[in-house]
Amino acid sequence: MRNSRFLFLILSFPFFLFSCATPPEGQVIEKTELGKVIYAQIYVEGLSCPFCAYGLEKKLKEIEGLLSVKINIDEGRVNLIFEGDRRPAKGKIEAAVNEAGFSARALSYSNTPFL
Amino acid sequence: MRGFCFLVLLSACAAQQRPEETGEWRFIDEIKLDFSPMGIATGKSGFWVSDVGGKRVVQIDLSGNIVNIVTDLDRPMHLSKKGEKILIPQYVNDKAFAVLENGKLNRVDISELQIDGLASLFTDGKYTAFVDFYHHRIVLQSIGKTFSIGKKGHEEGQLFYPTDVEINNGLVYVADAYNNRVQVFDLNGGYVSTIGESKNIKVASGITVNKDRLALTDFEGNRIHVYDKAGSWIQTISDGISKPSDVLFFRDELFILNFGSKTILRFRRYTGN
Repeated sequence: MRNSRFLFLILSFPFFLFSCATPPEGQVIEKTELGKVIYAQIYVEGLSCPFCAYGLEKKLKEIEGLLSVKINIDEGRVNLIFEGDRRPAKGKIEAAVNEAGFSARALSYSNTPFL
Repeated sequence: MRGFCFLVLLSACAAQQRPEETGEWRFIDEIKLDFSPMGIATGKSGFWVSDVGGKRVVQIDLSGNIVNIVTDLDRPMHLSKKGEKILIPQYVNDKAFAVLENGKLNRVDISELQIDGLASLFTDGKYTAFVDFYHHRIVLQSIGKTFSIGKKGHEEGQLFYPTDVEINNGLVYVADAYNNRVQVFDLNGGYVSTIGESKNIKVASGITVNKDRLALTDFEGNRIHVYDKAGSWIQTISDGISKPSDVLFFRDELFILNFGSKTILRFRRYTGN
């Protein structure tokens, strides 16, 4: 009986860890991974149609290490989460935005989620 | 005198009628959804609507009730049908489009076409047209033959971020979205005509074509324009239109997808009978 309780605790520990990694409300994490992440935020003008917004998402997803992209079409705000503790090169993000047909402005990084 | 007053009253009422109520297409119903609809196609037992934000396609009845849901799609855009199959372009997946048949989802490999942003696809059984958004072209495929129509630009025969396509009676109709027009090509890729340039359209995102009419969404202008097949303007519908993403002729009705207000509007063609 004591052994089975111990086994249950061992087996449920990874699920506990996974639930702790639940993303903030409204944030869609495509790939969940424990460990360090870097948050980035940019503003993009002219994101009005779904082809623009999801096209931007498509291009940003090609950046290595990107875990999540969330686009607020109305505000033109794009929130990104990258794996690891090194900031992704500004040029890579700007190039992806340019390839989607837009220009990025006000790029900022943070170790904690943007409010 | 009484008759004169009646006539004045009658004409005043007529003047207050909404534009679409005096045109060829008249509003009959609104279907409310809980998502922003992107594309629509008719299926065996109702309508399939793409929910690009939710990465799914949804089968609805005419009351807006959800009958069936298919998930795990990579940003589905403009839908079309081939027989009873629903063809689903996946905008962020350049390697395959999805085919829905009898509730079962299959994927068709198109990696050899090297498309960047599949916004729409359409087949008439003999030819299949793929909209390649980021390469500003249409890829036309038939047995043993694949070639491109259009290239990036603003001149006749050139495209700038196309988003939708239909093949009808030997012609390829392209929603040349960011050139704000429809361009028509023959099946050899030759330029035929341009429709809609005089209407100050702001993003021509979706089209539908039947035997004698063409309807076009004006996404940022919040309007639908209807033309005859020669390109002559017939009607503009604006009341109740909010960022229209797609349109569909089905029997004697016109379905308009309001991406902005999460609704589908039904209009019926008025023939005078």
